[in-house]
Amino acid sequence: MDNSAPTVTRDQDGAVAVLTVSNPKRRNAFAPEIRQALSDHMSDIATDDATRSILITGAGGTFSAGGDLSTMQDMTPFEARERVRSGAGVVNALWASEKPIVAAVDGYAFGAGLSLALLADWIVAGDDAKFCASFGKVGLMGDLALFWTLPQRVKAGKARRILMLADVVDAAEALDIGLVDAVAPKGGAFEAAMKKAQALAAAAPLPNRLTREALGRYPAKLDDMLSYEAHGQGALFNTADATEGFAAFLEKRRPNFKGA
Amino acid sequence: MGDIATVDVAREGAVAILTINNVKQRNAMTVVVKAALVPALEAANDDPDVRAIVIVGAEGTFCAGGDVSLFGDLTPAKGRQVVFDQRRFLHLMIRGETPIVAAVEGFAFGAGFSLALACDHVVAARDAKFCAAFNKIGLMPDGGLLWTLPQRVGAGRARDMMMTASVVDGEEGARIGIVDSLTEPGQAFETALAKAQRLAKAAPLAVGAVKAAFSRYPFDLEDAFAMELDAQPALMLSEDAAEARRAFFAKQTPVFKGA
Amino acid sequence: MTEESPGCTLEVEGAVAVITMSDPKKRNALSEAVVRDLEAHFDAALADAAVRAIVLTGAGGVFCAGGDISGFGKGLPLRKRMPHLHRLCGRIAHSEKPVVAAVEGGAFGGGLSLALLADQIVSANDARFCSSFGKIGLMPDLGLLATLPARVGVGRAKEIMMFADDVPAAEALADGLVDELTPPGGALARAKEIAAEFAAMAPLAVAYTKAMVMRWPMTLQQELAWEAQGQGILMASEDLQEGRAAFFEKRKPVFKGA
Repeated sequence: MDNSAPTVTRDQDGAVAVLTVSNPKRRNAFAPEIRQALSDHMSDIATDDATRSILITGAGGTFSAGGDLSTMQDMTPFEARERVRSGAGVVNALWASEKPIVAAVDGYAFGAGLSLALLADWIVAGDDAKFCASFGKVGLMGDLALFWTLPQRVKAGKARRILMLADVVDAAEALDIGLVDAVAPKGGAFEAAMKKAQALAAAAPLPNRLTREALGRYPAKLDDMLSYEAHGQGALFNTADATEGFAAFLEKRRPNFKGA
Repeated sequence: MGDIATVDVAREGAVAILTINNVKQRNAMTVVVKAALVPALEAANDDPDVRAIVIVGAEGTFCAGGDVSLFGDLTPAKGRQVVFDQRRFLHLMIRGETPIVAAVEGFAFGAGFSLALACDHVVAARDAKFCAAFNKIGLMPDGGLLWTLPQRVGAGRARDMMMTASVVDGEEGARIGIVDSLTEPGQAFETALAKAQRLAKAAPLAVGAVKAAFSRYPFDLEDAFAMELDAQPALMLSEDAAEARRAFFAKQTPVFKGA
Repeated sequence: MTEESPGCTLEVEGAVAVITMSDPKKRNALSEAVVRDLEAHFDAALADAAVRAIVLTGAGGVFCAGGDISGFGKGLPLRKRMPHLHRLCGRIAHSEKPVVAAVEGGAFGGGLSLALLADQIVSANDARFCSSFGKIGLMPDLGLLATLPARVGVGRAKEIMMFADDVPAAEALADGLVDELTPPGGALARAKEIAAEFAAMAPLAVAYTKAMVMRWPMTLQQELAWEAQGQGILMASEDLQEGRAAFFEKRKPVFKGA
């Protein structure tokens, strides 16, 4: 087997599914095989009751250096449009995930790598990590939902520099502007991400599924959210986990959530 | 009164002060409290002499959450109704035109967190504690938090708080956008009242127009233009705008009437 | 145009157009003359193929003092005048060539709104910013309701608008209201440098990226549809091939806008 072929491997650590992006000859560039593999794993995970959270990372000390420039020879606008459209599949797979996703970013999260990281609920960066919407450097615009995810995290002034000028953002600044949620020492991102993934795996899954769904409706207005929370909460009141939650609260003990 | 859960209403000049008083349950948002909030807010919104509202919790804690002891009895339909009914006070708070300042000491957990963020301006002691505690009891955030929290702290921090029920203190809250004005412990009410009194001196129609606009968040530039076109010409013709111009040229402080 | 007659100037230096508001007696308030010239100069800069970025600034040590208060008090004419101003503001905000605002002194009321239509804002470190509308019984206009929360978040935006307090430059930077500070007198030079950074990027990519930013807020499905449309055209552009070649040849790309 050629282990330099682009792929995404899956390992299981208890209730955490670990997805590792690998494209070693191209610094984990986001090739079509990787998009497909990610989508396939997300499908499997969706029906796997043992998995309660997902951790995405890159092999070999870097997250992903972006799209593969060597595959961008002359194409017609229609061919190109279709290529981008097919990226929507993996975006939707991650967006529709019922299980929370954390990203551990070491090294580069450039271009599509940045977009991929931003599709996670929670992002931790190694202190030498670098983020860049490198699309602009070669005359392209952001894709893989970057214009939906980035403005929800980063305020407009900085967001415009990142998107329009392809600024390179280091880990400390990324934390400061809300691009990432935590910074770990170099090489420590995976461990920090695993801790968070385990905390999420122990949290009540059903409310988090509905919370994720509700937030995915961004930019919902007030009444839309109020209706959503009412219906969601109604369904949750009767669950075994809610009953367990109420009991644990009143008995002043830790709840044990089963996902039902 | 010690044992009876209620919302006390007081006035300090043009500021109405609503105190959640359910000390035995750490000011939990019981059915009684939620019901009492509605007429209190309606009265404050409707009274032209009330120009700002302060919401505070009795005896040093804001509000520790919902009334968990009742939750176990709720069917899905009843549960939905209970949450749906909250829009009565939420609409009064968010769609009303009178600005509201939260004074947060102690705990703003669960429904208490939602209540604080439904206010326009959040004053908090640096050791106050905020937590979207819902997940800990197997529930999702309600009280509008899914709408209010991300618009203050961004998607990353909002997801983390809501999905892991992490606790954020006042000081961190000020850094990330939950808290607008940070105070020393014990000072939140005094500061909130001062802020409310400043707002009470502002032109009420102008403040109301800003509040009304944000109740429609998020919106784009063209929506902003439309809202301005609808409201600004009328404001331009208001007595308060004329008073402001008169005062400006006379080098005096304007006195606004809300007309 | 002489120093005495109010209006705006346009100077083109290479790929950067500099538009300067000048109405010293009114501290560059948005008078008829200034607005008329802003429209004409933006049109000219956008039509000029050599221009890739635009700097907007004010003469005489102030950016813009906002609406012309001496003309206020007439509501119905405002209803006629406002769409006109909105068209100008829309032109600036949607400009496919990036706009950098250079602020000395201060930007107040409509002047603040104008500055916030830019992609980037450079400010002198002694400048002040104020959403002064509330002080005269008005609501924030010229798009500030949308542009301000996008930069500083909803909580801070409400605070700035409802209390109408002055925001000093250092606080403005910490809030995200402005992007960079310079010593007094240095804002224009730095704005030109940033404009030059924009000018070196691929013009179509910049234009499409800005258009996406201006579509915010949009749903995920809307975003996915739009990005495919835009990226499709960009992937077939000559500038992409130049970008690729420059990357592999380890040199700076020279983009043509095609």
